[in-house]
Amino acid sequence: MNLSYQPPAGFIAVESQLEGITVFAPAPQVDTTPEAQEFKCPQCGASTTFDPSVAGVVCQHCGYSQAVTAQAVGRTAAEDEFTLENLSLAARGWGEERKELHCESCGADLSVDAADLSSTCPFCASNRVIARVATQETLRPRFLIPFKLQANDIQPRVKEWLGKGWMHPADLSRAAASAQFRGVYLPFWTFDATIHAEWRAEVGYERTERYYDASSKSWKTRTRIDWRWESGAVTRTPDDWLGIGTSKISQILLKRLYPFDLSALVGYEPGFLAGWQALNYDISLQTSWETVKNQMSEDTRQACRAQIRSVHVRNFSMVADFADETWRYILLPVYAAAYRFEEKTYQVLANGQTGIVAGQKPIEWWKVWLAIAGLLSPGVLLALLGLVLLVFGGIGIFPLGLGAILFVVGIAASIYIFRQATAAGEA
Amino acid sequence: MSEIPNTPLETPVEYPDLSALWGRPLQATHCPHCGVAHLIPAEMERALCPACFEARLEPQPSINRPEAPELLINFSTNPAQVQAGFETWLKGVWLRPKELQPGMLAQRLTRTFIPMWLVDGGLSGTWQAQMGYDYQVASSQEAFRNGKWSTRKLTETRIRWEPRAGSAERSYQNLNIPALEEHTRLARGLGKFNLEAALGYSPAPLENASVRVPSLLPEAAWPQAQSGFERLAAQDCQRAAQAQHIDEFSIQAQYQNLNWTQLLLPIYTTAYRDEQGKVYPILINGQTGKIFGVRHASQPQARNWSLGFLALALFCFVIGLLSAAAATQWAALGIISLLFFGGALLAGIVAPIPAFWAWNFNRKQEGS
Repeated sequence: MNLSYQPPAGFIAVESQLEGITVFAPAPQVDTTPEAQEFKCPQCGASTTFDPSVAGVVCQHCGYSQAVTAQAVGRTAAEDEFTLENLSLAARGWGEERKELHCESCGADLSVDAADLSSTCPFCASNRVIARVATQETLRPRFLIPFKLQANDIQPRVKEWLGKGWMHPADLSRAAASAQFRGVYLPFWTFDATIHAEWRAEVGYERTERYYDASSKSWKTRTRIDWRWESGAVTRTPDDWLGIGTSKISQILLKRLYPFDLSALVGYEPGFLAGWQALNYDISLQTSWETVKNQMSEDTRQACRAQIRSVHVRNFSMVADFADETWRYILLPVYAAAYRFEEKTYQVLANGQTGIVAGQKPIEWWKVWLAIAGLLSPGVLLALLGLVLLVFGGIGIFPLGLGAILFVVGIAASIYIFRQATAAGEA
Repeated sequence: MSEIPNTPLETPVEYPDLSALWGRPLQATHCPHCGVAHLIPAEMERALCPACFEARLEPQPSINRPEAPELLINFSTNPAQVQAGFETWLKGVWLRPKELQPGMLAQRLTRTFIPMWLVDGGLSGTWQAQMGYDYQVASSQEAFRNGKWSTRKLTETRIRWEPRAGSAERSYQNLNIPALEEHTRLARGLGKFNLEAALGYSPAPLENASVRVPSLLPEAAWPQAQSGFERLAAQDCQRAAQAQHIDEFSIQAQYQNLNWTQLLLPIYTTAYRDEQGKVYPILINGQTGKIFGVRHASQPQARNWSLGFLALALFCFVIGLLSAAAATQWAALGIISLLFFGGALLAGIVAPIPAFWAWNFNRKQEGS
């Protein structure tokens, strides 16, 4: 055996399957993040928290601050393939000592600082929250977008948002004062893929022809559709499509917070979570991928349809081959709060990066119905007047016709208002 | 290149006592046409060169490697079997030269042994390579038909390349290394020999047989031996690293205990001439009977056939013309005129076929 052999720098010995041959491989990258990290002020010993305004951990007692440094990676952040091997090799746990709080009211699992023994659930305002050991058997996020806005920046935006809209209670904005915003890092997946799709369909093209109508003994014009088979191909490369990683928050509300600027992604550092809550994923990678993949498929189908230069299409079929699928597990900053109004709890969310606000607002349905009645009544009254006038003479035909038009317009406006109210109330 | 210990002297030596070395009377000869050196039985004087069949062998005073080989594989096919092989081999060759007949080829069969080296040795050194490991990724194919989506789950295998390095100390036996410059061409044409059938050298199988003298002696064959050792080392390093693929393999090695063994392989040789006098040698694997050579179609024969058809076409055409002229007086001759024109057309169409077929057949043979 060649005992004097010096392997290249950074190589370590690995198992060899043959006698007489030694094998050296690059040493695996060691996760330098400490298993448990405590954020204490080195000056006064008090707990430090991450402050978005200074982009570092700050001691509220003595004013000590230290920047949290992380590599800005943006959209070039490393992506993983869909391999079981990768999943099992991925770093696990949060990399700092954290407790998990479980809300018995809405079921949310919150990852909080070790010092936090109790908390108000930011999603349902319930105090029925119990502490339990945070699970380490989940993937650890590798990238996140740090909070850019502070809770103080969010409060006026929420107040303004609550005050908007005539169908909501007038004193709703006062309820915002009771809402306590907590910054929560929410789990998201990002997905990339290359999709090559081939489609085939019968496409109809309109053709105008003249024909002799024997019954009327005259030449007339009619439209015929000529059908023929066509085919085509489309290649799409969806990049960084977001998949929601939590089922604890309304997906409708979360999508209203879009977009997040993923060019602000940085490498995960536990310091970003100091003093902040973080939600672990409970929608698995596979489940979220299936959802996003369906969206990508549908997007590709629409791209295929867009290639067809006719509105007449039948027997459309397509096959989409997915390749180069990759994913990331990231955390995105969201402020969450719940406020109570007339014995009911409503959820409000705000994008911690852009300040976009979305949430639930109570609807005063009597206002909605009154508005609908107001929109329909002119048409109905005018039509009635027309009917009465018809009895006494032919002049009634004009108000009857106008009433019918107004009624149809009123119906359309009413449907729009009803849908707006329903959308504002759902989620 | 590393040192090659235990290699024999490479310079030609004076005509040795071959009979003592080989155990039977042999004479060293060479072909004045192709330059190939042979050892032939003393009684085979002025024999045709079994390599090129162009000239008679002439005695030569010195020889590169006078020692007898250590191993030999004997013939396991006889001339009758080879002739039967020729029958099959020549099926489908339409316009053969006169000499390209199974009987004539079998008549000229010559027993010949060609040499190759079996090399043993050990290497020790350091290596590095890119090792490829297969891994599986989940993918899918989505289909939209009749307004519904369906999914087909797919599993793709991809390769992850990782650098590996290390040391190696291995021994290898019986690397097959050419002893003739044209070994690769011969091996490709004659197919594999079953080396398990190799026996220790004895002079008996050399009766009525010639022996090719190695043109690549160990020093000249060493680069091929070295790359053979490196190829085996690469396979071993790949196995040691449990990789499914290997790329960019390099090794810095010292070679020890090199031992070169000469092995003689049995072949038959024969040849035929075409009408222009060009000789086409044919080789036959003496173990398996596989035939390696060019089946040449006779161009002159093909040309004669084509010219014959052309003459026939011309004759028919002229008669047709005369008949047509006569038909102005006797209308019945018009039918005969038409028949001759038809015959001229047919013969004209057929005329180029033999020439084209022979040209195309020979072109394919040369290509293969």
